[in-house]
Amino acid sequence: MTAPLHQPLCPFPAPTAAPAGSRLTFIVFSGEMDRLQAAFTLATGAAACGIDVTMFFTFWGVTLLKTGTSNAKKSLVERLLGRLLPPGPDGAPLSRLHMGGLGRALMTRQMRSKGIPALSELVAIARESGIHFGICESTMQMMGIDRSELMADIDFDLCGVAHVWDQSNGGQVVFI
Amino acid sequence: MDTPQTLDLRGIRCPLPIVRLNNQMKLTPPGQPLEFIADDPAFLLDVQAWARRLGYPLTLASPGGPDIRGTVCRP
Repeated sequence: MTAPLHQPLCPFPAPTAAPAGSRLTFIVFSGEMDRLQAAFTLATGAAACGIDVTMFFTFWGVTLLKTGTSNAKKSLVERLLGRLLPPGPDGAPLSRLHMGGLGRALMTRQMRSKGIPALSELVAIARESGIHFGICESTMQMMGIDRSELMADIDFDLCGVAHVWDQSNGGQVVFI
Repeated sequence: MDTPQTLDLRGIRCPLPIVRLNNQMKLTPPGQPLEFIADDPAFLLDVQAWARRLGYPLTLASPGGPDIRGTVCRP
């Protein structure tokens, strides 16, 4: 390094107590790519800053984690939902200007050219960052999603609201 | 003191610079300085917030050009 250094910017010695607000819970309700991108950017950044992060997926948010199909017996509605809902991070539409996929393709290209991570990359980072994943059991039932259809090698709890609030433990909650 | 290793964070944007710096920091033994270079404009404030939250002493080079250079060390 050739440029001169300023004085250290952060207090030394290191603080011993965990900073206030060190627990964060995301209620991931939406299934659109841009909203999920925001949720995962905020969540992975928070985890890197030492914040204890939980992501709870409910309603359309669950479709992000559904990447496969199973041979489980399903009703007509469940089969229909399975066909209509876009699977996984690469299938999520934009909430605005999707334009039948053109908007999403342009946005994805723009992000790649600027060095902004793709949603699938952020999901992978979240899994490696020790972020706790919870999935709404009621949504799984409602949409007829079988556990075997969820993203492989992902650690998650199939749970309900009591577990979510127990995990959040009075910390900050983000609904997205 | 060991020669600091330099982590190149150029060409990537939020949250990747902080995520990668944090990952590299976990692999760096306490007391060994970790040098970085980044070009995400958001990183200038982000790295200070990150270091403050985790209690890592941080030094930033005088600004000059688009690159943000600095050194961080786990106490």
